[in-house]
Amino acid sequence: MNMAVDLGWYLALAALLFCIGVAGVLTRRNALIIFMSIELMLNAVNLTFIAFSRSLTNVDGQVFVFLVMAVAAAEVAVGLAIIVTIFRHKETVDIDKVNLMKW
Amino acid sequence: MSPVTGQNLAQFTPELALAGGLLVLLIVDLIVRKNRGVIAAALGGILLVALVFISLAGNEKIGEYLFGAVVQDGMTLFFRVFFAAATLVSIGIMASTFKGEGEPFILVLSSVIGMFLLAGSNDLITLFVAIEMVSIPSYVLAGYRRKDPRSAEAALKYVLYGAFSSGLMLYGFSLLYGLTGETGLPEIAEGLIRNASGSPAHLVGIVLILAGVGYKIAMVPMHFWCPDVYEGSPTSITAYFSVLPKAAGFAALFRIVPIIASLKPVYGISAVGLITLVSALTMTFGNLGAIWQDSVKRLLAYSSIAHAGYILMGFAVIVALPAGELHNLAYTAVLFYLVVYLFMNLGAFMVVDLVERRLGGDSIGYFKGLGKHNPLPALALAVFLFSLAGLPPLAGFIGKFFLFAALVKAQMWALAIIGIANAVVSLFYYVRIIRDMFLYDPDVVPVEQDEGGFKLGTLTSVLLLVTVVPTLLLGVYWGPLAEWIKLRLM
Repeated sequence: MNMAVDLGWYLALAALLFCIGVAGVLTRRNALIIFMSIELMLNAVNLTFIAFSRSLTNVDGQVFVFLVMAVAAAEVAVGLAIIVTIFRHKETVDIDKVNLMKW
Repeated sequence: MSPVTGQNLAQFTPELALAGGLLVLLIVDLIVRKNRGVIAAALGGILLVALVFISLAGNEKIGEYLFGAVVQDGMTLFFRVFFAAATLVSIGIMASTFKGEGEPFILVLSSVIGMFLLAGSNDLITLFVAIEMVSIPSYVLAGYRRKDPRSAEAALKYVLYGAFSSGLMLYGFSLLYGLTGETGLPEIAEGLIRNASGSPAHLVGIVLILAGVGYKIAMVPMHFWCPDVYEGSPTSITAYFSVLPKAAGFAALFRIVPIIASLKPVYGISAVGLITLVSALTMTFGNLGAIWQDSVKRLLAYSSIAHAGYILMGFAVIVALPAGELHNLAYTAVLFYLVVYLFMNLGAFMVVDLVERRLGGDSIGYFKGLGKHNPLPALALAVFLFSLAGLPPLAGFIGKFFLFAALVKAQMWALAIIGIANAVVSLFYYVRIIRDMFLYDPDVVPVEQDEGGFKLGTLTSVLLLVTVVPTLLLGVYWGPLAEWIKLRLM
């Protein structure tokens, strides 16, 4: 039995994940959830890269995924530290309440 | 593809020197106890002066190296010199604020490594890693005053928007990779022209990449973070933000121009149309936003958005005409404008920083009567603002003149007219500050006052001179610089 899944399905799943991530960033108000949604976007990117890499039999995409993961980890490290600072000031991570500066 | 040889690594000298210098700086910062900021700034300054010369001496005919990941051409050389020189001035501005702290300088220099890499990036992977190397230290810098809620808020907005837009950009990268099976930028452009030009995935990929790079240059609609981050960050760091990461975004844009230009119209949307639209929107939004501002720092933030719009006008010509004399003219215009922008914008932020430190705030009230009690900084600020507005005989006029000349020669009348209308609107809010400085009496009396005004330290005087003189000089004697830039494109 042939278990191979068509490239299109992987891409569709990745696109769906990406859209869920974008929707999360745009609608959620908790800074931590926004960060999780961004991680979801990055995972969608990784899935797309791996799927293409496999179907094109080209290893560059997989190398890219390693770097995306490394950079995402660095970004989260800095991001969480910043969220902690905000929490110390406001006792909340709701971004609607972080509004000292407007227009 | 060329193997890694000693010769190849030799081309990496500026980046290696920067990384080595950074390590030395970190260790020195651990050892010394007093004046950590002054020492870090001095060491960093020496390193950057050396880098300007190392970069200038670089061979620009090397082409691709390190397996095609990096390219060394005239553009790399220009941006390396530009980044080193601009950081030098920024560090000088920061030295007055951060006398006892070494970390901001270390963060700035680690960001500069990313910029140097970005200047020569020739591959999606290098481009992505370099952009993030510029961004991540910047997030920390924005929130450096962590006791100040505004600084923390600036950092949060910066990091959330930044991570979001890099997610968008990466999805765009993955689509282009899928369409062509390549990660090298020139190969992708070729591949796109050959087989996929005009497919919807191609359009989506390019729009997403533009969004990611557009975030760095505060291009509408990815500009929301810009005024808040600029206002909340410490002013001397805002000066750095307003020039360096922005110029880094433009360096990235230069590298992906061939990919953008490969887009054939899809559903009536063409590459030139896209750039023209964002350019017009960016400058209009920036200028309209600036009019209502009370904080001069925030006003300059909006003005920097508008300036990104002017620079994008040049990109519209570059994308419309992939090669030829006019293409080179637009290239020269954009690079020349970046140099002019470096001096006038850093200078303006430096005076705002000075006023904020001495008088206690940056709203326009603090600038009232500045010309009466402090004629020198007020005169300097007037020069910078007139130059930002684009009045002759200052450098800003020549910069705008080159951009408009390129547009007119390319017969892109609509964009040229929008640009000129914007320049007129911008005059209004720049002149308002100048009027307040010279025609009104002061609201706030300076605390620490000498006969002739603020005690300007040696460093501040030198930096004022370094920014004012080119702003005046490039307005009347622009030939050599324009010629030098043109030669870099050969």
